Amino acid sequence: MRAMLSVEEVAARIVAGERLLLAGDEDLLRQLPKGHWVGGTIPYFIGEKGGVMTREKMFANKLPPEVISFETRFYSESQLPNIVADEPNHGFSYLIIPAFTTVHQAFAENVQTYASIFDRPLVGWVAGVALDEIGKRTPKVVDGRTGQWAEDRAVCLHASLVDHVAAEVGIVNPFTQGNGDTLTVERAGFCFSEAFINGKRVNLADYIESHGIDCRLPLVANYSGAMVNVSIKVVDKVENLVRFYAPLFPNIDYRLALPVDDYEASFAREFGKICADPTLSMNCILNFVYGNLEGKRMGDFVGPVTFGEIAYGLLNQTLVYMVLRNT
Amino acid sequence: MVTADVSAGVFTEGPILMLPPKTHPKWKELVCGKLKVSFTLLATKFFVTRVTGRAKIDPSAENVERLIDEAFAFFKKNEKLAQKDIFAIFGQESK
Repeated sequence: MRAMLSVEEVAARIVAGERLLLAGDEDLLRQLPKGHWVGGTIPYFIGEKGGVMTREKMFANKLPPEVISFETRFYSESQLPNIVADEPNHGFSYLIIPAFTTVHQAFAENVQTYASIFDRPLVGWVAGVALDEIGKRTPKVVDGRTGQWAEDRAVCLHASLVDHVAAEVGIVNPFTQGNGDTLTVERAGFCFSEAFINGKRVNLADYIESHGIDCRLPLVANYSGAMVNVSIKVVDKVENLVRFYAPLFPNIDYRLALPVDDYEASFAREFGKICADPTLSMNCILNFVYGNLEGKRMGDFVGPVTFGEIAYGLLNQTLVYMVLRNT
Repeated sequence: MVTADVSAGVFTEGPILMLPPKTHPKWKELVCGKLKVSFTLLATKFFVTRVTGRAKIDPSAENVERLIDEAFAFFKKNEKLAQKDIFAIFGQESK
């Protein structure tokens, strides 16, 4: 079951003992009873009727019966590297991180250095708030088992699966690398004043401005065939630097993406290749805004629209999904 | 340069492919980025990017050996889901 539900409907399911992954406005989540659920704040969704911003309903994912047990745990910035050790031997881990926090930044910059991070499926999203409430309210996560909330720690649900099923995490990226300049950086980070264009050091803000770059297009890196986006947050001409929604890494070649004319059609083309019903999926707030996804359907790929998607690492402008496959 | 390719898709029917021992030369080609393969599993794509990046930074024999250990452990843990990727790397030798 993956659906947009009212507080009353979700509360009834919690009381009935259902195991739920929830996404919704903080005011809605706070009305729920304790039970077998975790959640994060966000008021944007791709629902059954298409993209929507709402504070009336929340998105509920019922854990499938193949999940035989699960544990929940909070992680501070310093505890995050322990996440790998806590992952089940056979299952998946579902992580929600509050946006604009040090735990968000630390995860994004360091997760790829965690030993064995790619050995077991890690999927999740970055909690947020309504765009007009950024700076006024804080994104939060909650462990429904204890009723404990956090705005400075991540919450993770570690789920064990039956033996004959395995979880596979995948992405659908509407963007591909363009054929333009190659951009590289010397260190990992969300913010840069200088970068290298085709090996030559430049001021990045000047480069973007002088080349008339459309900042709605992400930089795209090719990770052995996986296209990974890093979205431009702002070109700050006062401080003369560029901020991103995810880190850039050294030793990776980035190129500006080719423009996407029709996001809905681009996603639809990729969905057909997956050949499975998604157990989980989450899409990016930037796709929602730049692609005008309000009211537009995404096939079976319903779920929260987030401030960052997690498929092992932090991604931008990407749809992340998880499917269960018989092995 | 060795090349191989697999079609995108889901799980492979048939017997489980076996992982060749760490002494198989394809392991070294994989971690050193000399094996140009189209991978299917997202985890494989991310993992291979990480190990080949590390081999480029430190191509010493000790480090390459460590990375082969890491690659073997990754594919062992994902042996069932990564069948297409294992076949793409080792081909008929994994049967």
